[in-house]
Amino acid sequence: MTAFWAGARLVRRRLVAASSALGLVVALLVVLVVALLERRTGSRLATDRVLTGVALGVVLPLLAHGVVARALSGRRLDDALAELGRHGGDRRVGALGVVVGLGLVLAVAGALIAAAGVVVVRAPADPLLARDVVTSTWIGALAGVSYAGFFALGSTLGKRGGGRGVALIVDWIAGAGAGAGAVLWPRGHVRNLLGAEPVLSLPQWSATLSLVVLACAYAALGLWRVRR
Amino acid sequence: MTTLELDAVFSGALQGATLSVPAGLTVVIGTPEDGGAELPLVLGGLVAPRRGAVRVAGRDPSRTPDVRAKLGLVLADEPPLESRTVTEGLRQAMALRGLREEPSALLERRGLAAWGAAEPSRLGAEARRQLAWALALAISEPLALIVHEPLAFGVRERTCEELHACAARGVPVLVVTASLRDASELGGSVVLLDRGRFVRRPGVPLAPELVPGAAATLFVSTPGARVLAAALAGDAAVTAVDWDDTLAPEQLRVRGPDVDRLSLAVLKHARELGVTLHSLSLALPAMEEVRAATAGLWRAAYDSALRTATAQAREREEALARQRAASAPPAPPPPPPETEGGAAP
Repeated sequence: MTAFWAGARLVRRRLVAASSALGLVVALLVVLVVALLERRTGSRLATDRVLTGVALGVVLPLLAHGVVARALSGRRLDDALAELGRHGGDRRVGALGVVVGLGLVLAVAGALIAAAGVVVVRAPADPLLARDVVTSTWIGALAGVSYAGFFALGSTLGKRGGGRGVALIVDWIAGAGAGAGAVLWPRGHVRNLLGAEPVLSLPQWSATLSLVVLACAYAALGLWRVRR
Repeated sequence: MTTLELDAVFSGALQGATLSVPAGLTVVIGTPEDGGAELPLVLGGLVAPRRGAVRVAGRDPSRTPDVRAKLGLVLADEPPLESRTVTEGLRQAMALRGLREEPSALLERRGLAAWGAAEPSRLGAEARRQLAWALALAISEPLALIVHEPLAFGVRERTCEELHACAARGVPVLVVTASLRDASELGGSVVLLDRGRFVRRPGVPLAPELVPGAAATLFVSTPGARVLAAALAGDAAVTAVDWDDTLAPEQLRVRGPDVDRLSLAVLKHARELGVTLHSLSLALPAMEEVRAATAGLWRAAYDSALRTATAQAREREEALARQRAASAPPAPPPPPPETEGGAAP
């Protein structure tokens, strides 16, 4: 258990910095600006476009990639736990602490980004505002958690964790479709939850399930690749 | 009994390194380019070798956290602890190792209390290595201690005593150093690491064993250097005497083919002349000379093996030829000679 907390503390220590807060502020600002522009169009689909487009389609994956890279100091997942391993900590347990810590951070970030997008696009008097904020918040949080697992797995690939970058590109390209190629990546399922074309015509509840299963599978695979 | 074992290990500069380290002090002489810096990383389980096996007490340290927790390790380049303060970093490291001692007590005991509140990244390389050494010594029953250049940090005599104390308790202590002087000072069993492989184990005394056949050089410190130099110049055991009246008037450098005869000659003349000797020390060869000697020994061993193999092959061929000749059917009698111009009479 010591190794788990050591891993979680490592995430906190590396992320608690002014530059991390600045990154989140920039991400929120980008979403707010795009949401304001969408609001001006007056379209009924403005909320969907903001969420599937910039908020959870572009900003969240980029932010997640940056957060994971920073938490691991730009290294592989196992290399980032070198000190813990050296002193007899189980690197795999430590990696679990890191993944859980990253999941929490990105869940909050995803929820904030999604909620900010909806609040700005919808008028304050809109009766659907509260319901949409709640819905988009949990979708954002779930997307954040799945991206945490996804990039943690990517961080176990490559000499310096370069698999993270590959994972980002693959998610963008393959996850943009609705065919079988989008099944394994978070983006397609997040888009399904936000009302876009479903992956393999699966119902929305299955997208929630898929994101949960994928997040667990990514994390489990990532941990499996870390030496004890 | 715990042992450290490397079995044909390829990792970084190590190229098929094989070694077994029993309890006691073992000194590996090798530069970082020879694999000296990689060796503690591999034995400490921080790096998994590309090929080969590493075992500490029979288990692979890179896959066994319990083994790593019981290994005292000081690396060539100690990374700073990942924490706000040294005390905080030590607390986490000690908790992971299952040590109950307070980090402040450990720092106090080692005389490092001033660093407790310091930011680890601001500490210099030597200070970081001292902290790692303090942590290594805090392990109550270590499986092994693996230390890179132990006499390059802290107080030499104290570190030397601590290493010997651990070795005397039956702990395998592996020291890696590029300094022949440090190796000579530390004593213990010496192994040479050359271009990624353990090539030979010189015996004692270390200096003549490192470069067998080379002339020995003795440094003699005495107030009667002038008279002693004059006496030694005519001794058959001495081939050369160096004495500099201006730079080092009390220092003599005496060379000879045999270290024992040379030492006896110095002692004999000193006694006869009534000259006091302050110190008598054997000069250590340079690392390049040791490498050259190793290459020469390997070449000689190769030539000897080749000669033996060639002679054996020739003997086998000759034996085979003799066997063939003995087992061959007797040759048919030669045909009768034909006479010229018709039938035989």
